[in-house]
Amino acid sequence: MNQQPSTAVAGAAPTVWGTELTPSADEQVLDLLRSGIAHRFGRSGEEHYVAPPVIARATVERAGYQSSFPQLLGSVYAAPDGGEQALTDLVLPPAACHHLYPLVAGSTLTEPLTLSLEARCFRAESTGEPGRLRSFRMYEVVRLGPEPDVQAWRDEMLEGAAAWLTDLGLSAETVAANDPFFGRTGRLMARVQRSQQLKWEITAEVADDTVQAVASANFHKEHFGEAFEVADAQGAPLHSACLAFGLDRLLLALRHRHGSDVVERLTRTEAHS
Amino acid sequence: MSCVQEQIRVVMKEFAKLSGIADGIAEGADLWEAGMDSLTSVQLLLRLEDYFGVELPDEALTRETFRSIRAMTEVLRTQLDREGSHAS
Repeated sequence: MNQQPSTAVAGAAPTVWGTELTPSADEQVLDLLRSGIAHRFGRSGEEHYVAPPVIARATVERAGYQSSFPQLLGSVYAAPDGGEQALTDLVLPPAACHHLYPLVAGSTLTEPLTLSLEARCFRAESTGEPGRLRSFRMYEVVRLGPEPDVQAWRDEMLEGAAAWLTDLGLSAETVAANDPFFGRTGRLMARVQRSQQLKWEITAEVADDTVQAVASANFHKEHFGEAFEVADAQGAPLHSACLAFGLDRLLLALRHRHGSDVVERLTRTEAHS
Repeated sequence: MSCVQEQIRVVMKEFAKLSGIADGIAEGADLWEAGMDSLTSVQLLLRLEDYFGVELPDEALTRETFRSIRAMTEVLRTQLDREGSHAS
């Protein structure tokens, strides 16, 4: 959905909506964003990963995604031994952080742990307005630890992210949000999530009259700690939170706001940080 | 104690996060502070609907409905009256 691809080939368009090629000029912007995020929010991280574009179906099921968001999950079909194509053990990652939980599954953490990663994600969106990609890159920083630590971390990250995006010239409004849970019971889940202020989004204009979330900071409570059996020294499931940036949307918002001056604006902001 | 309220307590015992408090917690006490979470609220919703033979309206699918045994009792009573059900 990039409106101003500086190196666009005349008439070039994706063959299917919600999937975008990234020209080199945009990749340069993404690299600046990556280093800006790492510098500000990933410093305490133990490790940063780049994830493959597929993930074990069992992991996504264990995270509870398939039961809550079946409408969004994409699966890999193949026939490695020939014959009819069928479901494989792989799905397309709907969120970056799902890659991380298996790394700590079944472990005991005596100190809070911060990890980050960038992942190519897929969601089977039903609409294709500007910024709503089906294939997109998510840069996520994840914290696991005791509830007070994780909650304080989430609040600090949210505040820091909003300040950074404001510095970059975006409107960066912070709003309470909910995930797109499926169906009737999903409406209850969504309302509970919103009323508990577990999910906050930072929004920005990505096209004229189109505002989208470009980042979110979520407190998962003990959901992933329980699902992946990550516990404290007493055996209680740990809490987790994440700060996630939608890199493609962030790029779109910056292009919309600054046009071809994005690199200069990013470079200038980073130099003053 | 109302019949509906007693039955809610019986149903609550089926859920790990609520079984320990189902008998003793006051009818007006905050269940979210006592162990209720979003997943449990969804499971409880489905189980209560099955148990009482009703389907709660969309406007009742809120955090407030599951805040206390009293709140659940009121919502269920209203729906039982509305649907003319005689589930005991």
